[in-house]
Amino acid sequence: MNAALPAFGAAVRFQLGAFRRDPGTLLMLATAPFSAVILLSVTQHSGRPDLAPYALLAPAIMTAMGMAVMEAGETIFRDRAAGVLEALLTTPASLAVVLLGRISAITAVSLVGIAESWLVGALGFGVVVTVAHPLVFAATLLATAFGIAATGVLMASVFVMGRDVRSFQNSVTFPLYLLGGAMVPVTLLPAGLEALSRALFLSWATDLLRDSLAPAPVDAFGWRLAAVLGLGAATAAAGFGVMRALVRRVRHNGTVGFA
Amino acid sequence: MNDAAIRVRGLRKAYGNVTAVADLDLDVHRGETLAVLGPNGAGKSTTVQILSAQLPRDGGAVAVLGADPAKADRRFRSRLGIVSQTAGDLLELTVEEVVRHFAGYYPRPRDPGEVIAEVGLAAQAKRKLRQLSGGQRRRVDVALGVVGNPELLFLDEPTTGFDPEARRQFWHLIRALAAEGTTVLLTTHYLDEAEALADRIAVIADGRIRAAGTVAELVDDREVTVAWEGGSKTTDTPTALIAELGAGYAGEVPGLTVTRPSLEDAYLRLIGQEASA
Amino acid sequence: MNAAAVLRQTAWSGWTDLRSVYTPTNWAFGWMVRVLCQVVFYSMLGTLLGDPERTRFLLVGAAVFIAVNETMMTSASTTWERSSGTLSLLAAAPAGMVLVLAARSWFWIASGTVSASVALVVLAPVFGLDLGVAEALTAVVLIFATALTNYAVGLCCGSLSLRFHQLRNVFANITLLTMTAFCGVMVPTSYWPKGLQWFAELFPAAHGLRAVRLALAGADAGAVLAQVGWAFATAAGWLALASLSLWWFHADARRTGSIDFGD
Repeated sequence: MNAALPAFGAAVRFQLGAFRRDPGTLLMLATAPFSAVILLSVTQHSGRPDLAPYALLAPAIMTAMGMAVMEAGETIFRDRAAGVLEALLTTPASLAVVLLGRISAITAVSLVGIAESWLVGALGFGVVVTVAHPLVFAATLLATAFGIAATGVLMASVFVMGRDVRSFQNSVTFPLYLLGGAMVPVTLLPAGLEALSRALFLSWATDLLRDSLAPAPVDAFGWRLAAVLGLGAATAAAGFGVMRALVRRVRHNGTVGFA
Repeated sequence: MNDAAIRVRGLRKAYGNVTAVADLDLDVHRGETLAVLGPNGAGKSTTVQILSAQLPRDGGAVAVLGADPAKADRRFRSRLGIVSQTAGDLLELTVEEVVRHFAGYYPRPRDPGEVIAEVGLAAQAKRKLRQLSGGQRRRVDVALGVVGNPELLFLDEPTTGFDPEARRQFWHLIRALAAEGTTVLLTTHYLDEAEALADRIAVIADGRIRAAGTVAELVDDREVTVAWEGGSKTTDTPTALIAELGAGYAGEVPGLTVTRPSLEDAYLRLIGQEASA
Repeated sequence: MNAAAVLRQTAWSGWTDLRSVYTPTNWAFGWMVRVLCQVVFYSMLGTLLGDPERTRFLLVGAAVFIAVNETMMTSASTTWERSSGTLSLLAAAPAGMVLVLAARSWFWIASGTVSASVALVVLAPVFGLDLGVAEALTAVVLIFATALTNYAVGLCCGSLSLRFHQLRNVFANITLLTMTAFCGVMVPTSYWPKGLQWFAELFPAAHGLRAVRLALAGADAGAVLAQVGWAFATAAGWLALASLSLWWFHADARRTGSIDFGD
């Protein structure tokens, strides 16, 4: 633990610096307000102000998951391509800790999308969304952030397994938004797809987040939050499992490039 | 051996049908600088990768700082320093940022500012890596290798592609590190580099150590080549031969040269090639 | 070198690029899955609203805009010469950088047309859009026209991306989302204030999409062709802008020697 904290901190600082050095990595934050405009215009044009919370929550979720797939998913791949991975493996730092540090930073930054969405609603459309159940919202948001970070770890580990796998990276976002119920609750999906979506932490998280914004009491909060956390933990376990297999393979093949 | 930093017996490693290291024995004492000298494909890099826990071995007994690198844990890695090639993605960081960043990965790192000054880059601390020359970037690599305060430092052909001045400056840096007590294992195919830096030299060829020792031990300088306009002869009594020639020419012997064997001669002999005339 | 030879060579280069971007596997099981999910995602807003007419409106908009989405990737592919380090060679070559860069990303027009058409045809029955063979064929032709005319917009973004390489995806995505918001994809253009409506008319995709909607609604050919005409007219303006921008980049680069070798 003593060694892990400095490595975690170093990784967080590195990732924040990476955002500063390459602003293109913050693409999803640049596009979040546009997504909010698009979705809110649909609900407003249809005369459904009650769906405004849906329209403003969705861009925030899409931004956070988008960054988990596109930015977090790139971390190990970029590091390996540039030789940073092997350099890291020569140090005593744990790749798991470093990866977690970088992806935690990415997830934290991605949550700025929430503020952006809210501002678009308030300033662009005069729609102010209030949080009816703040504690539920906060707890669910934290659990969701955990799940999103776990997704980032899984993506990072999987996308480095091969060029063929990585070619699917750009194709993962919208299936995740759809099956995760980012905008439309998964109960409206066909039965088969709904069942599949229940294996994702995100479908539980988005339902709970929407319920926390609505005035009505939130049903079965404990069980549903447990589902978010449990499925997020399963995602993290899968991600770290793949990552450990990767490290074993790199060490076995000895791909460190010396000076 | 209590003062052994590295002890290798019977090391073996093959890549498919190609034997990279075959039954290699090697000792490196604590605090010494050992240069492993050999041609391309001799097994230098493979050996160093195995010793620094980057590659598993097929057989043999290896102890690095008393531990088996095959069972390397984080504590083991924290005692090693590896000078590897600066990763491309780090080129947008400044010298200070990258050294500070890697310092974060070690439990007891040295002060990054001190390390940067030690490698002679204090004036470039705020410059991005991509703005540095090749020699300066290699100094950053050394900084990253020593920032963790290692007991043992590995360098694999560190001055390949350097101009002569850059090489001299790099040697000065490595000597300074060695003077602080760091054990250094260096691979190179530059004979002058081995002579300049190493306390001992190990010559490797075809995956085996052919000989190891100081320069004086490796070079058998008893056999001296005496050459003159009329011929040449290799002898272990050059003075007597010169006297004989002087008598024969009744004065100055035309074109007389006396050449003692060099490290190059010894090296070529050890790796199984004849020296050029 | 004559323009026809350059175009032929560039077209072949583009075909090679297409084969490196898409394999049959990743196109079918990667890209098309994403396309279908994206169109379903937006169409289901209509399901959420409980409005079948709205659902069909969203379906057509989302499907046609897949073609716009793909042609906007021209912004990134225009910079591939730079990342591969050949841009400086192209600048020095007699072939003419402007012509080569303008033509090399042609494959997005083809793949965008195919992706959008497949999405529309496959999802039409799912979301209750009655699409006969004649309507489907007409839609495919109009989707092609939309992709072709939007290519000029993508090229314009590409010319900016050459100068600001790190922001190449930002230019394309912001432009795409601007069009998605205001060009009648999700809501009619009449929803927006007058200023934004006029702004939307500058984009070929707004006219191309309108042409598709009119055709599917059974409007007369004149109305449809008028929109196609406007799409080509606005595209000509974007193409002129793109050519000027590329020529300016080329001239600047030759003058200052500022094109790097690689990234």
